[in-house]
Amino acid sequence: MILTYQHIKTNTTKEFYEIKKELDSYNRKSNVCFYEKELSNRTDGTQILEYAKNKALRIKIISDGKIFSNQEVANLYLRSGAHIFEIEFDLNKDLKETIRGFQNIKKSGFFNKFRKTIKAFVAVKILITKQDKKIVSSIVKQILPLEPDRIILKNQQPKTNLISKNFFKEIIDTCIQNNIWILTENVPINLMKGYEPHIIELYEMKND
Amino acid sequence: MTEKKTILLTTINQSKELPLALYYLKAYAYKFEDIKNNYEITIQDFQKKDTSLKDIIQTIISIKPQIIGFSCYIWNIKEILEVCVEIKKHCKKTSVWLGGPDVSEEYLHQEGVDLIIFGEGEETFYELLDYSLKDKDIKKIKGVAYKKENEIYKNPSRELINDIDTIPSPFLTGIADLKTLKKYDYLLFETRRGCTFKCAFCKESVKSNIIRYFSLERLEKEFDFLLKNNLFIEIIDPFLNTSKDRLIKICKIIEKRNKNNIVWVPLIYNILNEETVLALKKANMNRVEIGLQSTNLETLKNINKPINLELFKEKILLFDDYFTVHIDLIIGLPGDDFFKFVETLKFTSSLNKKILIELLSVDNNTPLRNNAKKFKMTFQKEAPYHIIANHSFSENEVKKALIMSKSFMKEYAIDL
Repeated sequence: MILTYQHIKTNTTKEFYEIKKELDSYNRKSNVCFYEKELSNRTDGTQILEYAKNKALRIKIISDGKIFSNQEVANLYLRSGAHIFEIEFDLNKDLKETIRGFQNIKKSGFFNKFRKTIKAFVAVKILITKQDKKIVSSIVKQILPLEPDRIILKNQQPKTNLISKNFFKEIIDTCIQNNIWILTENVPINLMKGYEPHIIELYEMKND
Repeated sequence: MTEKKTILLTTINQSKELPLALYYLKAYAYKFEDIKNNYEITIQDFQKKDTSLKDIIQTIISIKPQIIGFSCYIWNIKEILEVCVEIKKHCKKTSVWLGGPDVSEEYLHQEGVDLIIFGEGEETFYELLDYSLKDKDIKKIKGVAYKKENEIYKNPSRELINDIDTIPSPFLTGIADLKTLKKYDYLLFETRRGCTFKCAFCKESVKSNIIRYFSLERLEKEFDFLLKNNLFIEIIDPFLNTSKDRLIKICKIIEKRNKNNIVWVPLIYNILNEETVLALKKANMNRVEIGLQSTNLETLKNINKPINLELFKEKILLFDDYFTVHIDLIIGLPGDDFFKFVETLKFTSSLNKKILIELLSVDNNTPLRNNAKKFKMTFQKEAPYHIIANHSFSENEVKKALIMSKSFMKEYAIDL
């Protein structure tokens, strides 16, 4: 089961009042997501998050996590109302800052309305291409002890059917043994036979 | 004057909640002068998270009661049986009794257990104490199973207490005094006993399929005392709204007294309407729980819980944001599988209320347990008897459903 989120574009050409107007159109408890890169390019990024939070929206941030390698920035996002994160691991890039950013969000907490400390929800999305499939397994094993709330393996080349079934099977089994939920995205269904609970496309639903 | 016999009534709880059953036993027994004059009944409960088994055993050994009675539930029976063995080793003369909804005579095969009280315990407990005083024949006491010279005997079951107002209120009699009550985070509270529904995963109707009510006069006095003293109450009826009229009357009693002190109100969906929801709101009873379990029709049939999903949704949406509504779901029911459970989760999350997910316990004495073969159910051999697999839900899928639910619930519930 997954929640789907409506992307709120916040590129710099968009005025704050336009974004506010868009957020106003959503009912309370609707799911919206922001790209951290878009928010970070603005001076009013955290104000946008706070506005969404005050509208009682469920907010997800999609990011490569590097900006959160600075603990203060991670705290600022959490304080502003972002409590659900999807950290993208691009295996073609250096992952040191991404992993540090992921850890910083994981260890931060925020106060809910009952003044109880809650930990953020942090999912890891691993972007897979044919070239880096060899290292996916070792990256997953490296992430598992950090206890992500979910792992998503996203096939970046859905048209090239070059990844064998056993490749996913091994990774999925490892995650389940470690009690970590794992999903695949853009992976041909014939490679997932017997592993249907892990196909993200089977869950997609509209929330609004 | 002869010394009073010492009785320790105890239990191991999951949280800091008043062990109501033990206070009922004491309140009922102390109605009788003979018992009051001849027995010193002490109640001491332990919290699982605060006290190790070793400490529990040490405490009991230091008290060295002549009789010890444990209140047993699915969440504590394993630990209690361990404690019994140790108690018997150190206090050979202590008679060890077990009671509660999760006991059966099978436990007499366990080392350290002398006697079982099955069914409603108040009258049986009193009669056992009285029998001991007057040297009566234990064979005549209904609702008891016991061990004598390594043989196990089971007496006939006891009839239910017809008028439950004959059980004195532990709150109004001072059996549970204010100082004691204030030690607990919340107090378990019954407004009635019994259930006419026959949900197969639940043993309420097996315990008692006749509903017996505490009088509204008594409830008014109890609520007045508890709420005036700012104590927190969790209602443990199978559901509070057995009838619209009674619910409204209870709400009216509570209305003027409650300042958000009633922390848990179980309800059934089909007899809710705008009037009853408004009455709950006026009474500040804003944390409610409603069972759904599954949306799959075959599953609902298997668990004998017919639900009209459209009506369910309609009733749930009567609760506005003032209320915190918890909807109960169960993983591992016969008829469900991974994706049928996902459908249930999808339906429930679309209602934007809180969701409580539990793994099915194939509990002793439930109709599901009796149908374990029919549904090819495998489950843990010891309490809490969690489901491993059934004819429709494989072991692998049950495990995955649990891991998936944990991940989903963290995301879903984070801001609710």
